[in-house]
Amino acid sequence: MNYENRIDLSELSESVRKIREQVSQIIIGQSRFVDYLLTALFAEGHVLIEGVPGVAKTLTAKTLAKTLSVDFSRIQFTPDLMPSDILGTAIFNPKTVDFEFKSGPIFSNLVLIDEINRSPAKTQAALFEVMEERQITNSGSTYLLEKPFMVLATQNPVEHEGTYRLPEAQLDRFLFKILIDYPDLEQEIEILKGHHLHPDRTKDLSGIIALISKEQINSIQEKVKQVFVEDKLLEYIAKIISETRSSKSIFLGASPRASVALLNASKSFAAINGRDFVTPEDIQELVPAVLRHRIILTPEKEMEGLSTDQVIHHIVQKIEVPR
Amino acid sequence: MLKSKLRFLFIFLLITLNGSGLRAQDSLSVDSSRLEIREPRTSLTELKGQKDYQYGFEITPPLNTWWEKFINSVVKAYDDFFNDISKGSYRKFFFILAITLALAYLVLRFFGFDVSSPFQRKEKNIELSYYSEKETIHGRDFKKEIEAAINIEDFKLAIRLYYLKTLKALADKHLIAWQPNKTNRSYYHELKPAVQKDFGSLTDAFEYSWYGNFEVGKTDFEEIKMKFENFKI
Repeated sequence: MNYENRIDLSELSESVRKIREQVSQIIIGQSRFVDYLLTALFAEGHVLIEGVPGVAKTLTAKTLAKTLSVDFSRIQFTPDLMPSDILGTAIFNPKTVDFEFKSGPIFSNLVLIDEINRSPAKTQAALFEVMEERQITNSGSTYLLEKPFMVLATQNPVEHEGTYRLPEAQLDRFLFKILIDYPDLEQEIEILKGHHLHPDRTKDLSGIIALISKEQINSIQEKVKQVFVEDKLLEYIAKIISETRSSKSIFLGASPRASVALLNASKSFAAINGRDFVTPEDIQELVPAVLRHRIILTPEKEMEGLSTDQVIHHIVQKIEVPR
Repeated sequence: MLKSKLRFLFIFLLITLNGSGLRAQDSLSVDSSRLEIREPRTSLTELKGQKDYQYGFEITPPLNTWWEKFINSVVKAYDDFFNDISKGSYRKFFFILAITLALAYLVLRFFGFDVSSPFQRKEKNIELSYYSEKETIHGRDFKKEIEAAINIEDFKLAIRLYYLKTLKALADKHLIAWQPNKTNRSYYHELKPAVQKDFGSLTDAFEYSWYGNFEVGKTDFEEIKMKFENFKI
């Protein structure tokens, strides 16, 4: 039987292989994290990265950005940041006697928002339109953002002083919420060895070369949309999402946007794994990253010490894999 | 000389002023006017009869409504019941206790409370009840179903049935722990390395044809069929 893909994914597979290779030279033990970032990139999604300080959240995002030949900007969110500092503002030009729109740092292909929860709701709300519709409306004019556009936002789960919880509407706009854990013992030893031999390895990213252009990313994104999904698997996704709405452990279930997100992410994940069709494995793998920021547990379950990941795991366990 | 004159003047003033003070006291006037004694307009007995001055007890109005009558009869029954117990009649006590518990149970069920939970051990985790719409491997005649699928040349279905039959065989020999929520790769990792390679090949065949919607011709099917039949556990 001929197992050759009907969609040409060779370019994608080659790019993914090279990106993994380059990132692994700088970052140790975050291969799964890199795969998730690439999945989100090709699924045209945004990613919220959560982890304690020092687990290479920002470094991984920066390194990934270097492997892509795209415009990159970084915004450090602070409590006094204003929406116009991100989006841009209209400035009066005395020569033309008119207002001109001065674009903000969001006008980039890859935007790294560091410590997104340091800014109040007013500033975070400025991202609603740009994240969902990839456009900005200012003084009655609409400005479209160039494709590809991806927001990588980091946040620290430990600190509460001077931080603001992200609104649900904004959380729903992130395709994934990725939790970065500590490296295991072997990886930690490897990090130390690497740092001992090349102390500036993580500071100097000049050795990283750009591997994919904007055009290639756009082309891959179009190919990912064509990845085949069997009807039974669509039903499987719908059942998982539906279960979050009827579960007694969940106060707020996932929205239809979550269903679409899971579908798109599964297609992209299948593609980066060299397949032009989705399997239940792809869906199961991505369910926690897609759902953990979109559901709210009931206060009783929170008091019992249950985490959203545990509830999601139980939901997946309850639903039969279509075979 | 001057000193003795001043001393004299001081003593003189002291005596003179003291004497004027005594005279002032003597001149206080005495109030000798007559006071008019007022008598209360109503007598004390009359006041006692008024409702506003009766603080000690409340006069209950006579029972009128059916609800008041019902409550009164319940209170009376309650009194009678405990009077009976104090006299040693326990049969009535248990009878009424049983009726009360039954009523409480019905009321709680009516309002949707889980009555059984206080008597059961509470689990820390959430419910894990698995529901399956259709049991996919047990109680099926795979041989017959595969023959039927081949006869109508539905080779994808035939591959699927072969794969399910393989899973059943592995589960029967306790090489995998069958759970409908597990993926094919989960079973792959449960198997011993010696079997993994062949099982991986069968899984590919199943996944490409069933999830991937790849075309399966008769020649392809024959090749895959051989793999399934030669799969040794």
